[in-house]
Amino acid sequence: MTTPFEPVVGGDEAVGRLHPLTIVFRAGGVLRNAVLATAAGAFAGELAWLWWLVPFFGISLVAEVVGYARYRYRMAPEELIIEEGLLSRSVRTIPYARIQNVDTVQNVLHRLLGVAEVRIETASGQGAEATMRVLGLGEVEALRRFVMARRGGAPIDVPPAQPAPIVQLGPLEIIAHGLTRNQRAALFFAVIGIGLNAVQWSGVGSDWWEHVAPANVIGWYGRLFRLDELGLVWLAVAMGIALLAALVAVLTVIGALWTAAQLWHFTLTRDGEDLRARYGLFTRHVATIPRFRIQSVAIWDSPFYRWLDRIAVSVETAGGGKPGEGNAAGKRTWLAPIWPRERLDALLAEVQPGFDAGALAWRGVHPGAAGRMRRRGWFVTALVASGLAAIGWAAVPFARWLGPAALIVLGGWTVLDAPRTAAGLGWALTGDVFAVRNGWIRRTVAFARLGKIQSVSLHASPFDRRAGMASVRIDTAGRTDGEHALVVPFLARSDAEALRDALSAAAAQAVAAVARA
Amino acid sequence: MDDAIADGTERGTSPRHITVERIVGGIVGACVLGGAAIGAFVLQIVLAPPWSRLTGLPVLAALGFAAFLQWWPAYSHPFTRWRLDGAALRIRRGVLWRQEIDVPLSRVQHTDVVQGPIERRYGVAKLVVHTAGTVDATVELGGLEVVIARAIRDHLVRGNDDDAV
Repeated sequence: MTTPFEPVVGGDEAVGRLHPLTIVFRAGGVLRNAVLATAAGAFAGELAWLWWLVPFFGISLVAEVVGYARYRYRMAPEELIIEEGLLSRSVRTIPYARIQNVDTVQNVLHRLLGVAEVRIETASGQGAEATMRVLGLGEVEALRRFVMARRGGAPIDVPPAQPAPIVQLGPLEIIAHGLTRNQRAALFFAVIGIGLNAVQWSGVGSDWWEHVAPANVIGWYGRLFRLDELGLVWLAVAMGIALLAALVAVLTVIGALWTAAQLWHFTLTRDGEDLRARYGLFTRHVATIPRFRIQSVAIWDSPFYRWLDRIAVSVETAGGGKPGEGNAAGKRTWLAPIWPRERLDALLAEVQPGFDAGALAWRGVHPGAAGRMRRRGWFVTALVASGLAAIGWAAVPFARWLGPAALIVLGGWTVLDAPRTAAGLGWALTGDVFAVRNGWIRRTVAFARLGKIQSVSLHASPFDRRAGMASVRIDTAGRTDGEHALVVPFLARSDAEALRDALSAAAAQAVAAVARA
Repeated sequence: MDDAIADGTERGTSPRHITVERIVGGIVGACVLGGAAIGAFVLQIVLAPPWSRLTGLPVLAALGFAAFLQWWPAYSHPFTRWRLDGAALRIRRGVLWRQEIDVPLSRVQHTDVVQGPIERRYGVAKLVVHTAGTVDATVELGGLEVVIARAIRDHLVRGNDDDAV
């Protein structure tokens, strides 16, 4: 087979192929489709037409084998070249300097057989630039070393010894992390489950008391305690709440274990300029994060974490985002899903050398911020309460108390939340770092190096303008939403303009400094 | 028309942009009005007398929409402004929700100057600036005179080979 390449200058170029087991995995994919088709046929009660699919699966099998045979990757001095394709050959050239990450994913089978799927990511934000499925572990390590050594910014001679981990998390820590991550999802699914059951109970008909088990229990207790009809309703409500609590507890535990399995044995090591996160009980992930590719860092806690004196730290890098998310490129990686607060500085010193969280000079937002949030809260409260009151008045007698209840709950929340959220908002522009903090229940600090700023924008809604305020946000090559949102709302207009000017100027200068270096 | 535009002065877009927008708005408005008229005609046939009196409403709404499309370009025109200096391009836009975006020159990945057929006729162009960002990865500035759009583009892309992400 002739290659379409020019001869490469210098003889240290390596040519590689996928691991032979690739055929097994690819054939497995075809086989799975065949089994699915058979199952679908069996379900439909008609199997004869499946014979027509046999040539189709045969052709896909052959195509997969030939696809494997025609796959080549070459490590040229300046770029990684991947050649693939059956009829139309595609030659993909990825300069080492553009590679953001070399990640590996190993599911259970991969681990048993000593192979891994490799994802090469650039800043394009279109998912992985190249997915190599599958490579032997030796090839993966060779490829990674070669790429990381050739890429700018990293030392050529990487120490071969396994460096001491920066972060290493035990089972208890991981489970504690899992407990905090899944409460909302658990609540959601529990509510859905109860709701579906409630629909079923109420849909049985007029004599549903006799037919359904929970109703039987309620009826039994009712007879035992000689409850009247209102008492029965309250008993049903109490049972519903108890059931909800039990379901939430069960789902939380399941969710916690699931999250724990995904992040099992989480370790973070530093290898020269590269951070490497390894985690996973079944599917093993190895994510490589070059330090200088980090776009933003987020540090946050929750009441549970504060009680444990723990924080969580994640970073956002460019590229590798899932395709189909529009502009939302970037990839979020844990540095530590749970970490002792007092060791934060030690962790940050490894990840962002020169950054000192204690030195940040925090500044608050406009004093009118709490008032605006309170007004917004009261507006929502009034809307919801009057809506519920109208429903209760018009249709459902039981729902009459919903309006006042919403008024008390949402109004109370507004009074409680607005001043605390406003006090939680803040920003700092110290040295070469722009930091933003927010939240009071779940407190977040996100920061980015000024050299990572792609653009700075100032926004003023009609409400902002009436109050003489504006918000400022920066855009980086990583996603800037959720915990990583680098937005300061409710700034005084003059402060917002000054901050915007400072950020804009600093971003231009920081880049100039990088370009000179 | 070289570095003269990079003097840090805030400028508006071309007044001819209003004309272009009105022509486009006229075409859209005519289509909507035509659709509403056909709809009204069909409803007139289908509906019984008390309801058939309401068939004029879609036509009225379409007329209002078409009138809005003629009025809006002139009203919103002064709200789009731009300013270029040695460090950044600043674009100011939005009538109710206002936005000012600063793109440092060194963060520009590439730029496009886009012209539609009507814009070509009036010598107007849209400048599109791409950065490596995410939310604001594409920043557009429409309604520039084509010479100015090209001058800004030349200024943005010159002597800038650092695109560190």
